[in-house]
Amino acid sequence: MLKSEFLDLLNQKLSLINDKEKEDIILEYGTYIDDKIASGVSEEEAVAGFGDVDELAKEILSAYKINTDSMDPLSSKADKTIDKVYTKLEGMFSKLGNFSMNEIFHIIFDAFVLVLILWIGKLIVVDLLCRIVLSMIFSFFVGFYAITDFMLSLCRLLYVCIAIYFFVKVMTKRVERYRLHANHVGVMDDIKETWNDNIKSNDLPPTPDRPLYHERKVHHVESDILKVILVFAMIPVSCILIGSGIGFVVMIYVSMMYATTSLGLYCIDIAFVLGSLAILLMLFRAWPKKVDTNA
Amino acid sequence: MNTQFKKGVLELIVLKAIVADDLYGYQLVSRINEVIQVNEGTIYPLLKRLSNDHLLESYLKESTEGPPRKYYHITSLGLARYEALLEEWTNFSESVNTYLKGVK
Repeated sequence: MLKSEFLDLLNQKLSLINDKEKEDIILEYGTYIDDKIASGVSEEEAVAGFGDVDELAKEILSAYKINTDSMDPLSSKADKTIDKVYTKLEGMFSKLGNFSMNEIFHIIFDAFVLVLILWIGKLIVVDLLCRIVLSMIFSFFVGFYAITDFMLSLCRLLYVCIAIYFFVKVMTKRVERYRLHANHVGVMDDIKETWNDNIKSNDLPPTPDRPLYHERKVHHVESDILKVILVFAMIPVSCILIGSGIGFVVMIYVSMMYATTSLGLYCIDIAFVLGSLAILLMLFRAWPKKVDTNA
Repeated sequence: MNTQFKKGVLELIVLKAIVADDLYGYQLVSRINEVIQVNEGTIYPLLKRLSNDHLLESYLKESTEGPPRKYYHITSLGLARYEALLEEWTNFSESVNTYLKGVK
């Protein structure tokens, strides 16, 4: 434990003492640790010399004639256990890098969001787009119909490979960011950055998670949740957009091949395209803007 | 060493250390540690208790490095307490020692 952590913890435990006295105690222990460090002991060792913080706090409180034993022993015991598990976990993770518990939760959350996005991407790219594209190809070359399943599983495999690569790349970037405590950079920005790299290296078709790398930045969990909800709302709208777009192309193809044109169908199709575009735009507007950290 | 023993004599040792000259926290702990090993954390609560009982008084003094240090000074009440404790301890340890050394 570092000096600042120790003093913070002590400050918490001494919440029953009035602020002025508490300040005095914290200052006293702070200078004591400084003195000890000056005598050639490492910061951790200097803090470790105090032993268990709970015991210490109890002792200090008893000097102020505050008896903690009578205070709900059950809950304090539960608190202690949670505290212990918490510090142990934190210690375990901090061996991997200089992470706080909060940052670890953030990393897990980021990973979850990323997996969710990749899963949605899989549904749309492999299950929907690939099927449509493949059946379009097979409608021209009927002979290839026999290898549909093979082609589909190939697509799936390809997607999984790309997804894993993408996931690893974004997560390494995330972890690196947290290591530098630069967590004000949202997960979406990292996805965006990685995405832009990827587009150059392997010309992927754009997936509907494109809205996610919108320029506005957010870093609060609430806005992350809002984003997920918005993404879910965007999926059907994007599907309508893609569908009516394909329909438009098909209609042009039909009108060219068979010389039959239906103005009404064109109108309906264009209405669909514009409508879904408008809804998408509206959803973008609802996208949480970068929140002021001081707010 | 038995912590119960330590607890009993700690007050006497702290007072003794502070009789000669005024000390700040770290100095005090180093002096005490020359005699008995104590948990550093427990010194502050003890100093607080002694201050509350007006056996010690504290004052801030500028230091060459860092923030001002809190020095502890023994009061006349503290001195009296020290004398009393010392006598008590001497009598107590003598009688215990004679008993322990004596043939049953």
